Amino acid sequence: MPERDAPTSTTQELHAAALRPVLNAGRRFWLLFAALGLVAAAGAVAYAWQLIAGGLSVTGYNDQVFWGSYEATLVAFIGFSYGGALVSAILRLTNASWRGPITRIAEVSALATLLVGALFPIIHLGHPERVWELFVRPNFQSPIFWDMVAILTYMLATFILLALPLIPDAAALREHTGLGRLRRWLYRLLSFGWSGTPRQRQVLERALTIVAILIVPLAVIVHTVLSYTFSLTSRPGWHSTIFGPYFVIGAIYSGVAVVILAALAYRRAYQLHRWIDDRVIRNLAFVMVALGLAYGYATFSELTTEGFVGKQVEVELLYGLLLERFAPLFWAFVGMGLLAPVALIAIPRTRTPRGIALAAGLVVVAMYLKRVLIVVPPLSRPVIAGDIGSYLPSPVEIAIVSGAAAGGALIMLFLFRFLPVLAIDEMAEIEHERTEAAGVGAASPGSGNRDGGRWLIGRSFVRRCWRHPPWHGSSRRRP
Amino acid sequence: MTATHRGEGVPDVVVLQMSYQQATVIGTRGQLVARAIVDDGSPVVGVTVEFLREVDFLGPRLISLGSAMTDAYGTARVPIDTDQATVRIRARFTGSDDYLPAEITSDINVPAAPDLGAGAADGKTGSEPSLAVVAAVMPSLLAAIALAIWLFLIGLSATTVLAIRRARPSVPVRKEGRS
Repeated sequence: MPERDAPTSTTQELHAAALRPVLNAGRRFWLLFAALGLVAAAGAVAYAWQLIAGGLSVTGYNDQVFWGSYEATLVAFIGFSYGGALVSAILRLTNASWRGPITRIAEVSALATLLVGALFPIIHLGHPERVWELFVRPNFQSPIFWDMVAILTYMLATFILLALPLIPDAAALREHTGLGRLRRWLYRLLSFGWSGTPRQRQVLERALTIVAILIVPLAVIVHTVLSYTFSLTSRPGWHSTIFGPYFVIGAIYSGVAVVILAALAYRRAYQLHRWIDDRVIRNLAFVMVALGLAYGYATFSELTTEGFVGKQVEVELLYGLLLERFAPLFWAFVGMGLLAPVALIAIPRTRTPRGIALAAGLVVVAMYLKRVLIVVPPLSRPVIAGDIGSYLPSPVEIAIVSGAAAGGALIMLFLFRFLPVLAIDEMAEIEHERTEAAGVGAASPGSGNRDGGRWLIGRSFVRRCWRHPPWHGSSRRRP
Repeated sequence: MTATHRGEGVPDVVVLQMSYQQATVIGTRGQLVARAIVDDGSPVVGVTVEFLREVDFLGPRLISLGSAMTDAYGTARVPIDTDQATVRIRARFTGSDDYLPAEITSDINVPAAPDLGAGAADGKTGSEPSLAVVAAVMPSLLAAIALAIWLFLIGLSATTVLAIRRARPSVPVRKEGRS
């Protein structure tokens, strides 16, 4: 019966699909890798030039606008990371059945963007060699110190959220004959003797649940503390009570967009359509739209509460943003970041993978623009006296920021040369739970065929997966 | 001299004057001062004057800055934040049985507050409650929380890995299917 034979072939196909970037990266992968490597190298050279040629004097910063693209990039990349971690954690906690194919991509994108974002406070330092003094001579009054603590803590939690679910996947792949010795050794190391016993599953599940619970408040704390860097400053446009939640919503919004882009890119590059199906992408798009609407409301709320109180300096700032100097950028953000994505996903005709990719791309660009608008306009207005400041990023800054963005993509590509792109165990587990919940056993014909034939995985899939890896031949072999 | 009411049923006309008074104690807030007098120049005592700020963001509106009762000299005062700005202030007396309503609108130039350090800028005196205890305890508390989270996360990962290793079957399953 085809249904009974299906689990074996599906297991094989799932493993093969998850390992496609590892085993068959392809020529285009290496071309992309090389191109991104060049951009990242150009960024590194630009940073070296910044260090040699007198620090931040090579940037567009000046006496008035002393923060700019580096701070915007810091906030943007930490935000991208936040979305990835939260998608994984919340979908895990809510046991969303469609999470399986995207959790690994979300977790890796969270770690990659976090590593890049965390570089920017250092890049902004005139004397990066003194960064260690943050540890040995901490200034507890400074939000920057607490930023560092929060980011490092969040980084640890993100790493654990990525590493723990890898244990069963590594065990499933440790004897894969198609892998080289290095990778097999790596998987053996990462599997920690996993054999899929009920006790092991229980331990892992409990730890993952705890980390997933913990990462939600941690991510909120990180982005709230990041907002303190601005909102604890007595500067019109920054000193706002809404900044904490405003930053948090913006972070998840842009982060979900990055996860969508990464998922679509891997799906297309490695023909993962069967696993990362349209339903998964659509669900992510709906999450993104909901967050977009929330961010639109938060933007409205931020502007009106400042404007309504009517302090002259804040009103001038708002006029600058809405009608005068920064208006083109602000309305570009509104169009690209709030209206267009919602419209693209709300209209069924444009709610296609292509349309969703366009919406997510617009969100990423617009949210970066918004971070620039948070940083620059308030600084351009002097709080004591003097001229209105101006800011234009220098070529060095552009090279460094572009290099960092390329670096983030490179980290992701690199990690997926070693890690399975799909969370094999999680997908199997979800399917197992689904069949159990439906009260249909694996032995029953047709079980596991509840998704339009997409995941033809039987009830004992999980057990078989570990005991009889598909590359050993028939999964029906018994010890 | 206090304004003397002219007689039953004939309310007096009140004239309001308004000015900004710079703080005389460094670090304290400046004040808006309105003086209510009747036409012969005598002060109107014991009436409430409301101070409002005119703004025009999203349409013209009035924001109340507070109200005060006139003293023996007919003056009412409310403090105002010392942002460097020219603000349009309206002082309003709504009238009573004895006095007719009056109001005045004036552009007030509020100078910037001098940078005097945190204590002075807050306008604190020795008798006011201090946040020094919070400032002393908070960093230690936050550091302890951060450390606890680190230890918890590392401990959780370590115990999970150890528990997984401990729960291995005696014969490793991975060898069973090796071809």
